[in-house]
Amino acid sequence: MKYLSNRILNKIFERFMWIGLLVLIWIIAVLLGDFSPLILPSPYKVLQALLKGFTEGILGKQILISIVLVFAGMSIGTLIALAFLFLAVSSRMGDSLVTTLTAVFHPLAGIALLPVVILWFGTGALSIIFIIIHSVVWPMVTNLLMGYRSIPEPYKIVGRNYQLSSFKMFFNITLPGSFPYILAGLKISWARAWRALISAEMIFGAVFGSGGVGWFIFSKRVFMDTPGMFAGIVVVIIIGVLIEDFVFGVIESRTVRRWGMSL
Amino acid sequence: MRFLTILSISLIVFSSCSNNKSGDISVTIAEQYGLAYAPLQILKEKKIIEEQIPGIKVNWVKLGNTAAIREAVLGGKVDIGFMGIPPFLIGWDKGMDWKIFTGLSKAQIGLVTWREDLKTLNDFGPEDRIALPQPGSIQHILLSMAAEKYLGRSDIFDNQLVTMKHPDGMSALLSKRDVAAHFTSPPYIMMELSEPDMTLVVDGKEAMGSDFTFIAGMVTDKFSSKHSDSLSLIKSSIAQAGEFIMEHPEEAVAILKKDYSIPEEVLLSYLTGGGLVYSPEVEGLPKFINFMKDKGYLEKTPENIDEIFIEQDIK
Amino acid sequence: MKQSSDILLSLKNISKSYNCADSDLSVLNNFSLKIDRGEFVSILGPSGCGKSTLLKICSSMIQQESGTVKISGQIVNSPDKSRVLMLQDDNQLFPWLTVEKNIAFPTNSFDSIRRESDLPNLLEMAGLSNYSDYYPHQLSGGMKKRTALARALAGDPEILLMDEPFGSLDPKIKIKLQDFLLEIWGKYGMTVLFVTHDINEAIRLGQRIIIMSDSGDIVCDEKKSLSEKSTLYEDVFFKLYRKYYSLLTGIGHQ
Repeated sequence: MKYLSNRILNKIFERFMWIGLLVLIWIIAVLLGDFSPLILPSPYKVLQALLKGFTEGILGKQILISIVLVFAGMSIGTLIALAFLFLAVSSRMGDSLVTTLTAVFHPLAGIALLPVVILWFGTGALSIIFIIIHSVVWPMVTNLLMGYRSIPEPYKIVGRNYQLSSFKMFFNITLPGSFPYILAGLKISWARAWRALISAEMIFGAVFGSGGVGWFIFSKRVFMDTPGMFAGIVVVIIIGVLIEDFVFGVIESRTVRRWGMSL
Repeated sequence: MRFLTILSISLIVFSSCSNNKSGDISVTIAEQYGLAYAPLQILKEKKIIEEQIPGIKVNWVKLGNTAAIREAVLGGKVDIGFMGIPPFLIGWDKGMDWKIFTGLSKAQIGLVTWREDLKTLNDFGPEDRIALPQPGSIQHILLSMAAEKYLGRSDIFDNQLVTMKHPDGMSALLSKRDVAAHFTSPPYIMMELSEPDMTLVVDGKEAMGSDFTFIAGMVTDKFSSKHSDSLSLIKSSIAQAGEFIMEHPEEAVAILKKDYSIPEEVLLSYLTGGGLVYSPEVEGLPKFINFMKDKGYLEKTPENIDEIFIEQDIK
Repeated sequence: MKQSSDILLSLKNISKSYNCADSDLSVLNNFSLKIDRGEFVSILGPSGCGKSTLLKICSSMIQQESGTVKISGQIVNSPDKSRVLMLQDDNQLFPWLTVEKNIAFPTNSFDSIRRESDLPNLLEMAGLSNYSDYYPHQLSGGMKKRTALARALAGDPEILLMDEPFGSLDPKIKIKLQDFLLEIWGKYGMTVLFVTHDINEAIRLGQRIIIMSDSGDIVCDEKKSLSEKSTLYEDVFFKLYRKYYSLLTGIGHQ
């Protein structure tokens, strides 16, 4: 336990060190380079713009909207991926269907689907969620299938030996047995979903009235509020790092690392 | 996004910049899509600027939106840009060193809807989404003016905007789905209004209460101070191209048709229908400034018109 | 002669073949065997003779093509908790469960005869009381095997089907584990079918020793003619070793 928390503390320390170094380079560039603040604002200005976004603007609400959208899309996407997994493992035809679908759609960037999505679902939250689902389902299916196929035979033999129902077999053996792959799938899905969301928001504009972080960046851009634009980008980065390091970091150290099952 | 834009433009322009040392003038002009930019097409095709200023090298770039043009100007990759007055003012307000040096076109722009129940702005509910190029664009400012005029609140529609390029906005409107109305400009406004069920809710002139310049030309202070003679020649070239379209629309259509996938006779009707006037005059500037300052889009106003406008006689 | 009521496991005319490279490879052909309740049977044989297949059929993990498997006179077709199969594989413990939860797995999986209250006993018996919160990857090889054995016992099986369970361990630990296995067999009295290719191990553990040929036939089936306390260094042990060795290698060179 102690070891784990030390690991996380170390990671935080290293993160801060490198981020601090980047900010230092930024400050030096602002001081030495003769940049217009419209091209490269100082970190202080960006910090001010960030605080202003929270106090005078609705950045907090926009962050919440973005996170809710990603969460909704990822949940639905994961459920769909599970359904595909069942389809793939239940029959040979199902398997060939799922692997074909994955091969066709996995390389397709969500943003490339935009024109079609606008025609089908319009420009509301539904379209954004659709694009997130698209970016989640395929890497998730790939990982779930890999995880399912990597479960060692002895685990299944033990399960059969104790006559587990297929329900218990799934939750007590299949799920934990393929967890390293599920986690890897979730991490890839999250990264893809977050990127897709920010791009989609920047194109669709305001969803739920105020839009999300992507819309915040875009609206700062069109009004040439460069510090505000940077603040939005900083928010996107911070959320990305927080989810990656803390949410996934903690899940990882409590599961696959503790179990000695890291991929 | 922005760095990519700057990078791509710098790649396009790099060669021309390095030519400067010979003493020849090089100018990079950024434009956008739409019929309001037609005189630039004529300039390009007939090489009018090159004729007027021997030895000049003209580079044309076409960018997707005004923000991209501003960023390119800011990055020093573009000397002259064409856009609506409001996005110019936002750039100036934020400290960009540039001025308007010519008008390009006046046009009918307005809000088109497919919904029968939306007869006036009063009929729009909070769920009725309005597509337009982007907040801070001339379409957005005119919509705000109309909202102020008829509903007493300029920002009432700000939370139901959908940012779309004109062609996307048109297909979203024509698909009659969740985009209730589209604030657009020629030729899209004409194309949309020629479809069944489409009606005009309000147009720019009505919102503004007077004529106004739709697209104007902006020049960086760096370029205008160095090449003021060339600039006035460029301005007169633009005027000449505009006159050419107004006086010889058939010949103009022959040149323009390859850039717009519109049948020749339809294009001709757009050019002669009165919805488009090409003129180097700049109209409506004070009204835009006052409204935008009033609504907080601008933090400052120019104390003297010289700060934002270069008055030049056409040679 | 034993009376028929004492027979726990009975295999009759079992045949099984695998489809391999477009031809059927027969591993068991009309194989029959009877095991008494409480017996500890060692099965020796060259690799590929069908020992593992035999255990999988005994536990109903795979199906025979013909013949019957009976437990206490009842035909069985699907796996159940009374016949626990233990593999050689090091991965048979669930890495996501602690030692304690791994051992408790059979009792948690269904309403077992053994209660949670037996857990401390099982842990202690396996010498794992201080390691109950450890995860398998933190254990030594020997501890892993003892955990697996304790788990196998937790479901209170009638018969343990062990497929070279100590194959991958070094000899010292192997002997300790053999003693441990004998100890719990003495204590619980379950029936054990122990497959190995190690003659020493077969002699040390088995009450009864069966030797299978390449083709899967039984070439030797006898009660061990040694006292329980015999050691490797006694002549009788060595004689037996040589006998089985020649039987095995003879088979190998046919």
